[in-house]
Amino acid sequence: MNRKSAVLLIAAALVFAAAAAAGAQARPGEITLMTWGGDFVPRAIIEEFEKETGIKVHYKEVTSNEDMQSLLEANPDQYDLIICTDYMVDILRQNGMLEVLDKSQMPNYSNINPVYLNKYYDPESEYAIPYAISISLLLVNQEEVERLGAKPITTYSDLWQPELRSKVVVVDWSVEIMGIVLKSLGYEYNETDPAKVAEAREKLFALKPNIVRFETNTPEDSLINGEAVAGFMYSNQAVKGNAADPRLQPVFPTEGMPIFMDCWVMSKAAPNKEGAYQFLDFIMRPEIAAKIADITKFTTPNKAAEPFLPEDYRNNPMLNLPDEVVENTSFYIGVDKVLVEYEHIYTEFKLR
Amino acid sequence: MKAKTRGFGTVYLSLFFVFLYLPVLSVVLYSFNASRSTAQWTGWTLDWYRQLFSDRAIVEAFRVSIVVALLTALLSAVLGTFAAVISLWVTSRMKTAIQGMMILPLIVPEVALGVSLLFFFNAMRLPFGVLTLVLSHSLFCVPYVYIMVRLRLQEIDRSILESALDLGASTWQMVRTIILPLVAPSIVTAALLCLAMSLDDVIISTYMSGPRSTTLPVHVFSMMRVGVTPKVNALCTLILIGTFFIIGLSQLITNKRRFAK
Repeated sequence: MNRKSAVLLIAAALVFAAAAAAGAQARPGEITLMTWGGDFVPRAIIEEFEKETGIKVHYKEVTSNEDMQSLLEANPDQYDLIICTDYMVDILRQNGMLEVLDKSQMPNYSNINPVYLNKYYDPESEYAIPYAISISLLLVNQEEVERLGAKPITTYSDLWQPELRSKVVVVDWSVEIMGIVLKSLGYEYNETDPAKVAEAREKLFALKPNIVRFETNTPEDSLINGEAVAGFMYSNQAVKGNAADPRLQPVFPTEGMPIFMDCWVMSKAAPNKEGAYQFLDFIMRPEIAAKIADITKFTTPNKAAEPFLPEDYRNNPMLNLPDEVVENTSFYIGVDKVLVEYEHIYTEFKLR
Repeated sequence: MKAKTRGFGTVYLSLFFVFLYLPVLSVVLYSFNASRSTAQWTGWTLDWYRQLFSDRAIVEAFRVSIVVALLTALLSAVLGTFAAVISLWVTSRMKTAIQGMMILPLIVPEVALGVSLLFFFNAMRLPFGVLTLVLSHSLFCVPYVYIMVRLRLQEIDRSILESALDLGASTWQMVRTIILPLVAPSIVTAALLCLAMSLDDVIISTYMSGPRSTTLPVHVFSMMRVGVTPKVNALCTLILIGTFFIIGLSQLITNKRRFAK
């Protein structure tokens, strides 16, 4: 081995040493949070917190709840705070990964609307603080529905009207679509009783002629371009559709709607619990929660934030969900127990 | 008959490329759309590009991605080339074994690789960040360098190497003055491929990036929950241009080699 290759090796070693030093261990005076990226926790809010407290915030972006679980369980002492979806809170709680939150360190906790507390994933609200809420609902162009000769849509059952042939768009997920059918039959989400599932299967197949498109990412586009007159979608998509065309109005089906809640939780081995409590208390301040809600366009569980919300947000029932709508929602619980069966039925349905 | 076949071939290939590139072109088009929705075209704008460059998180993620890709290309090129050169002097049974083991990281599902690397680096107490990203990306990049360099080495006449040794050259002299210059174009092409693959990776990067270093693809995918803005279309357009540039460069190098021969 001559000099040149030795130099090359040393250079490579130095590069790695520098890289290693750059990614050093967590120090006090900083916290690390892990959640969805983009502006799910707005950078502007983080900067405000850093300026006020001098605590540096690191933001680990991940693409799924399952990734958060693997990363947290491999390195529980690397992360202070996590925002994950309701069902993952349940899993992490049962795996003993989460810290019981000390409410006395967070005076602003009292701002949280009790309608969002004590849910299945955290029955005593010990581990989780709700952060971003969304539901699924119907977005309807009632003008066009009327023109087609159908009666106005107020329930899921109305989607079965023969006048709506090839005029309905739905998100493309078996559990959601089976959910519509089960609710329209008066049953609960993720029903396992074979008789009820068989009944739902028949009713589902009857819906097929009315579906013009299965679309998960931009179902609102089908209503904007007039391809569909009614759609079942997530609230943030419905908000976009309504903003693009005010004739598209939300319908909260009387049978009930699914709800999704992303919640803050703290790692049991969090390196900087004190800093984490400071951060949680900060984002639960009414004016901060209002700013976050306006940037992310999710529903905020912060009741005290309402007066600080911009007018267009406050007057939008899809964003500022009325309590009676929230009370008529339920979670998809036990997806793992029904998924195989539902996927099977759903595939058959789509192939018809 | 011949003309007929050729006509069919042209039509087939044209359709093939239209099918392949039309969706890609629509991303480019929508990156200039003033509306947030892809259902409406409300006019031309450069706003999304402006927003893209003022987004600090994206710029930072892009910087990490580029650093990781460059280091990965360098490390993989060195490791892969040496492995290929050394494999010239092993028994044929050993060669088959090496080949098989080289391809293994490409067959193992990325999630499995990501999770096992997570546990491994954890046990080694390596801090997660640029270092772990480069090491893990090199894991799936080295095989490509090995395969490409190995193919080129097979074209070299063994007698040239033997005569060099007979005439008193040391092994290292022979490698440096004969083998490396002959395989250099393959190394560069392979390194550019590594660059592109490292820039693309999402799954392994999710596990390997530390709490404070996110790569660009991970950043983009993690935005799904909040909703993807046309900013991402603008970003894709720029990445496309970058990728075309890299591929063009590697083609140019390959062609040069052909002509030189």
